[in-house]
Amino acid sequence: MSELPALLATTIAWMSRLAALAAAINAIELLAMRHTMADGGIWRAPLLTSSWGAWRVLLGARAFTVVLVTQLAMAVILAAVPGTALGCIAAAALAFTSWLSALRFRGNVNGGSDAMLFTVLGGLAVAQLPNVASVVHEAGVLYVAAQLTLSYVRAGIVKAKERSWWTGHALAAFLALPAYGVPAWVPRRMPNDRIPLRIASAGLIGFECLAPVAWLDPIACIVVIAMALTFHITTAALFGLNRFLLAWSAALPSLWYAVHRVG
Amino acid sequence: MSSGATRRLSIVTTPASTLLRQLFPSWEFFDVARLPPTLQLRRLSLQGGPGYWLGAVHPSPRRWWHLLYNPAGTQSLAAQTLVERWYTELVELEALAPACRESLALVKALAESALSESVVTKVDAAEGDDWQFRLVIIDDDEGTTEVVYESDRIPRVSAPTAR
Repeated sequence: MSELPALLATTIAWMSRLAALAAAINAIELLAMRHTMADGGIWRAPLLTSSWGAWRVLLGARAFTVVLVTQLAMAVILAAVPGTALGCIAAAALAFTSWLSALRFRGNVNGGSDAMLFTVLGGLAVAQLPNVASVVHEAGVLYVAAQLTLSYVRAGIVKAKERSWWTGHALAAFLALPAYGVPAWVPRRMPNDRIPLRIASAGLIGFECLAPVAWLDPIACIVVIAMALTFHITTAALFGLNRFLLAWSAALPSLWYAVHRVG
Repeated sequence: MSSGATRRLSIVTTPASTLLRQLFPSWEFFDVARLPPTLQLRRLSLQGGPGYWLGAVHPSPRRWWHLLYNPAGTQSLAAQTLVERWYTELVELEALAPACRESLALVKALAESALSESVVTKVDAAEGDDWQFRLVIIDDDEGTTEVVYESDRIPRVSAPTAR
């Protein structure tokens, strides 16, 4: 128990650095996509302003560029001074700009990765609040760990309910979907029989549904974290889901704290 | 099949609804066992017949650094999210619902963008030809294509020159 305060500080520092990296890359990617938000682009302002409300002053082409540059600056601050009041402000500011980006793209830029990064940044803002009891800091980290675990379990359960996941058909269909840009050699080498796909699908469902065991034992926690990283690196390589890798990586250290606090 | 990004989005987006989705995410990824909708477009030559239907969302080739930084991939996924959301709204709402009309305008902008990036020029036709787009569900196993929506003929001049 006496090692927990040090572990909490280390956990917050690692989560802050990884979340800062995720937020910075998100900002740079959106800056690289500026042309899609300009006049004549896909996400041009006139098509979206009705859903922006009063926030439209921050979401026009030029103002949003300023928001993204601010996001970059806040990411640098969060990475530089984790565990401080300034880190708390930076995390809260990044949660705000993350929400603004989602609003700019009519609800989300990249699906669940937006929500996970928002969760991590919100948890980090709480975990770095000045002049509060350490239990509040713990609550911020454990909230992230709980959402992280829930994300795997929920995704696992909905897959387990779908017969197409158990037959390997669902995984095969995702690998063949052009929008994900799966490297061409993957479908070519896909076996005609679905046994390897069934095994991979069952393994994924098993990993996601059993993720809560990470709270019970440090060894189990290490195994779950290793499997999670493997899963996210694989989906980033195959499906281009780099934002999921970044956001979930920022959340994973919270599991290590959770198993020491609860297990 | 859906990435989950389009689930429960069949309401008009507001700042509050966006915040609620961030605070209470569904975490239901790759769950729905249905085939993904695909946006296609084609040229309509003034002289000859129509061109081939081609996909409008084209991801760029994958590189090792895309594990961390992948703006083109993020753009493709965001574009596919637009298409899937529009499909969900067409199925669950009336085509004239405000959310559906907003989605249609965005998807048309996506198709125009693909057109201006010469996605379809590899087929045929010259400047000045008309074009159209459609939303389809392609079932490779069954060998069928279900047309969910097909636009009217659109004058080429309306295509912008973004980028």
